[in-house]
Amino acid sequence: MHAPHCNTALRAWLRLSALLCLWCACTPRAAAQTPAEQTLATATVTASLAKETLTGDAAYQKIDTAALRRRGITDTGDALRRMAGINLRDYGGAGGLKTVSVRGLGAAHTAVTFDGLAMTDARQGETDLQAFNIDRLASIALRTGGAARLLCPVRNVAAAVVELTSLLPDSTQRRPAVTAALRQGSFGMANPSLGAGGRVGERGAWNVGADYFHARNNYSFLVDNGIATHRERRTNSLMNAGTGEAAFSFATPGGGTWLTKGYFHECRRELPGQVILYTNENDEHLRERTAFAQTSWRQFFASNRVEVFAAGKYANLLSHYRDIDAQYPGGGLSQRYVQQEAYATAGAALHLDKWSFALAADYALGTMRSNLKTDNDVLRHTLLQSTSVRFHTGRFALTARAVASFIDNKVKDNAARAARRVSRLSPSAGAVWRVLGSETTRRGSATLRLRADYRETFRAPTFTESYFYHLGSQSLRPETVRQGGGGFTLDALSRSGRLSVQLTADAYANRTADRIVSIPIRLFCWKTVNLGTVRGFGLDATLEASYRCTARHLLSLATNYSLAHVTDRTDPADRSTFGKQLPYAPLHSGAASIAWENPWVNCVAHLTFATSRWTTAAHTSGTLLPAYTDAGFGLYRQFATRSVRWEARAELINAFGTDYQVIARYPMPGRAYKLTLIMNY
Amino acid sequence: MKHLRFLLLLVMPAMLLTACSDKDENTDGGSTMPPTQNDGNENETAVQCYVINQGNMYDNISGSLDFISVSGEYRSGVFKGTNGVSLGDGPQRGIAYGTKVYIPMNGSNCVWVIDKTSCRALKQIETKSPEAVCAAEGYVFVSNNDGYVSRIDTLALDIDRHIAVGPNPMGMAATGGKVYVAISDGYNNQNNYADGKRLAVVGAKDGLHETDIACGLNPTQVAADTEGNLFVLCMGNYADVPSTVQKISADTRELSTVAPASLMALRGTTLYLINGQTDWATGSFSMTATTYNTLTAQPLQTALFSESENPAYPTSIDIHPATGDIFICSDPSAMGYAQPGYVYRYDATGKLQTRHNAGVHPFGVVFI
Repeated sequence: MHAPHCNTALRAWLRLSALLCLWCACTPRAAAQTPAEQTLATATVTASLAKETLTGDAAYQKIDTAALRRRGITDTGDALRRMAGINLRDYGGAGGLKTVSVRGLGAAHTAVTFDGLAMTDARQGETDLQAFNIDRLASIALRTGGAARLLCPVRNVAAAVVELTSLLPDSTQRRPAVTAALRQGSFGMANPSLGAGGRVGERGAWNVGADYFHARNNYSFLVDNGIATHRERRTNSLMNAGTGEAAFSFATPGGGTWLTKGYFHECRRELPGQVILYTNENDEHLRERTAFAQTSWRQFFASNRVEVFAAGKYANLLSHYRDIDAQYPGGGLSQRYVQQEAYATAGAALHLDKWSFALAADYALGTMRSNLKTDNDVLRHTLLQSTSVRFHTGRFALTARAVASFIDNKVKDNAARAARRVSRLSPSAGAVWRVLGSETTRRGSATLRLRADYRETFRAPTFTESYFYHLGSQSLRPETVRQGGGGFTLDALSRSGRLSVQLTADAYANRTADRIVSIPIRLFCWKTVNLGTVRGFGLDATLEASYRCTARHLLSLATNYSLAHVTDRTDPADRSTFGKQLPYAPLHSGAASIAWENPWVNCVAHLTFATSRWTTAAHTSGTLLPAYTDAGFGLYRQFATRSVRWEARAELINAFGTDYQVIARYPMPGRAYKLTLIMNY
Repeated sequence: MKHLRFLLLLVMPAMLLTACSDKDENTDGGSTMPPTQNDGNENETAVQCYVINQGNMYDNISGSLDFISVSGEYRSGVFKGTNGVSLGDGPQRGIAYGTKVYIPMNGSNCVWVIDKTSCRALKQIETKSPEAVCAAEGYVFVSNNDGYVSRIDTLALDIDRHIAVGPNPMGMAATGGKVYVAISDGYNNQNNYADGKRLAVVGAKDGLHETDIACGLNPTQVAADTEGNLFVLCMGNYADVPSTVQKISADTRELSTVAPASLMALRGTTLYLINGQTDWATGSFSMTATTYNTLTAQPLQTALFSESENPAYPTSIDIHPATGDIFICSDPSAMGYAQPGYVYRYDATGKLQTRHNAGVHPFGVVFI
C-alpha cells in the first residue's frame, strides 16, 4: 500500500542528490561568493528590515525574501505562522484554506493589503492567504495596530494588517530580466512560474509574471477510532490554480511614485471536507477567481513638506461552490457568487518640523450577485474618513488618529430588508520613545525603544452573515474591538560587528464586544447572532540574531513566541463557557529557525509549535486537540553560471511525520519534500 | 557539537510547552453495559433505554450511545465501551425491533445494527445519509436523504430493496402494512420545498411506492395512532411559516391542523406536543407541553409539566409504550448545542422523576 509513496520519496532523494552534485560541480566563481554576495537583488531590503520593525509605535514583523530562505519557509501560510501573534487557521494540504486570526481577534478583523491597497471579500470577510504564491512576493509583514504611514488609505487602519508586497518593477535594472522557477513536491505538487521585467526610459519599469499550481494533496493521515485506528488518504483533493500579473511603475519628478498593477488568479479545486468516521464520500468543488486592477500615486511637494496620494481599484471576485450529491434538487448544490468593488482613496499630509497632519478619505461601492434567491443583488456603500496628527522629536513620536465610518446597505429586491446601517467613530493613538541609543545602532551599542498604543476598530457583518438563507440576519450590529498594548524593542550590535540581536516584546489586552457568531439551531440549520464578549491578554515576542563566524559563515536565528489568553466574558452566570479559552486559540505558540550560510550548501532547521486547543467554547470532554510541533529542514544554494544566477532549494517538511490537526478533522500532511529551482537571467 | 547543543536549547522549550497541555477529562474508552432485564424474558413495564447523543461533528464531537438501566443507573458511551470503536457521526433517532436496535448514522452514511441487550455491534449497513428508521412486516425501512428508502431484511441484515420516494425523505411511521414517509424536499428551500409537502406511501411487503398524501410544509416526523390516524410534524420554513402538527385521518385521508409544535410523540391515542420559542438575540427559551386525544384532536392537558420542571431546551420526546413514562432529551440551553445535555424522565402524569446527565446533543431514546 505504501510502496508507491516510498518510490516517490526515493525519486525525490535521487533528485536531491543530483542537485547536490550540481552544487558541488559549480564554478569556482560561484564558490567564491560570500553569502552576502549570493543574496538576490530582490532581497536587498535586509538592511532596512530592523529599522522598520523596531521603530514603529505598534508591533510590526516582516519577512522578506532573504528571511524566507533563512527560515526555511515553504509557502505563504508557513510564513504567517512564523509571526508572533498570528494564529493560522489551516485546513490542511497545499492550497488548503488558510486564514489568520491575530491576537485572538476573528479573521475578519485582519485586513490584507496587496501592494498597499486592501483586498476585500465582503461576502466572507476574510481572505484566503494561500492564494498568493510566495515566489512572487517580495515580503510578507504583519502590522498589529497602527499603519505604515501617517498618510495611508483609511482601510489600512485595522486591528491587524497583513501586508503582502509583490516583486515590484525595478527601474534601476539595466537590461530586461527573466526569472523562471520550478517547484516540485510531495503529493503531486508542481508549480512552475515565469516572470520578466525591464525598464521604460529613465523612470519607468514594468514586470509581468505567471504561475501554475497543481497538487493532488492525497496525503496519508491517521483515523483515530479506538481499536480500529488506521491510516487513510485524503480523497477529492485535486487542485489546479493559475495566476497572472503585470505591473508598471513610474518615478514621477520630485520623488513621487506611480504604480499600476493588474492581477488575475483562478483556482479550481476539489474539497476533501471534514474527516467523517466510516465514510469518505465527498464530491465538493470550489472555483474561485480574483481579478483586480489598481493604481496608486504618491507625491511630495514643497521640499517634502506636503504629501499627497490617490489610488483606485476595481476588483471582481467569483466564487462557485458545487456539491454533487443526490440529496440536492437536480443532483447537486450550486452556489455562484460574483462580487464587484470599485474603490477610491485619496489624502494629503502636511509635515512640519515637529508636527505632521494628514487627512484621507475612502469610498467603496461593493455589489454581490448570486444564483440564490437570498444573498443576491445586494449593495454596500462604504465611506471612511481619517484625521491624523503626529508629534515627533528625535527620540519621541506620538500619533493620534480618528476614523469616521459610514456604511449603508441596500438590496435590489424592495420587499427584502437590507442590513442595518453602520456609523462609528474609531479613535486610536500610539507613541514610541527611544530611551537608549541612537537612531542607527552602531557597533558596541544598543538601542532601546518603548512603545504603547490604544485602538478602537470594528467590523461590519459580511454579506453572508447578513443575507444567507436562514443563516443571515439583517439586524446584526458591528463587532467592536478595543485594544491596548505596550512593549519594547532592543537592537544591539557587538563591538566586532559580528553579532547582531533584535528583540521585541509586546504585551496587549483587547476586548471584543457584540461578537458575530453562527450557531446551529438544527443539524443543518444555522443562525447568525450578536453574541458575547471576549477578552484577550497576551504577549508577543520575537528574537532575531545573526552571528558572522567568519567572512563566509553566518549563523542566523529567528524565533517568535506568543502567549494568548483569550477568554469568553459573555455571561458570568454561564459557568460552562465564561472565563474559558476560546476555541482554536492556543495558549502558547511559536516558531524558531536557525540557518547556517556558508560557501557550500546553506542549511536551515526550523520548528513551529502550538499547545493544545479546544474545539468547543465549553471545553466539552473529548474536544481537546493535542499540542503539536512541526519541524523541517532545508538546504539551499545560490550560484551563478555566466549571466544566469541560480537558486536551488530542497526542503523536508514535517520531517518527523507528526500527525496533527490545526482545525479538527482537517488533518495536516505528514512528512513531505519540496524541491525548488529558480533561474534569474 | 556546540551548534547541536544550541539547537537543543532552542527546541526544548517548545517541546516542554507542547507537553504542558490542558487536561481533557474525556472518558474516551466509554462504559460497558450493565445487565439488562429482558434477556429472553420480556418484561414490558421494565423501563430501560439507550440514549442517542448526536454530538456535533463541526465541533469534533462524534455521536455516542448511553444506557439507562431499569434501576435508573446511567452509563455513558456504552457503544464504544462495548465495541471499542466510535459510533460515528450524526446519529439519528433509532428503533428497537426484535432482538436488535437499528441506529441511522446520517454523517457516517450507515445504519448500525446492534444486539439489544449486549450493545454488541452486529453489522454496519452502508446507506446514503440516513435520516430515520421504522419497522414493519419483518423489515426495517431506512429513509435516505438521497430520495430513497432502503429496506433491510432483518434476518439477512442486508438491504434487499431501494425504493424511490421523493427528495429528502425524513421520518417514517408504519401502520396497516404501509410505511408512510415524510417527503420534506428540505434542501430545496430556495423553491419553497416545492417537491415535498407530502407523505409517500410504501407497501411494507412488496416494497413499492404506491401513492402520496399531501401535507404541510417541510414534514419531518410521522406517527400513527392505534386507529391508523397519521400525525405529521411539519417544520415550516424556519421563518414566516411556523411548525405545526397535522392530522391525516385514517378513513378519509382528510388533512387538518392540530396545533403548533416543534416536537411530537404518540402513544396509543395520546399525542404529546412540545412547542418551543427561542429568542435568538438573547438565547432565552420558553415552551409549552400539551397532550391531545388523537381521535378527537382535542387537548387533554394544556400544561403537561409544571413550569419549574420544564426541560432546558428539548430536542426530542419519547413515551414508554407500556408505562407512559415521558423521556425528554435536552440541550443545556439554546446556545448549548455543543455541550453535554440532559435526559429528563417524567412519570405518566408529567411529574419529573429524575434528570440524567447525557452526552452532547442527546436526540432521542430507544426503549428496549
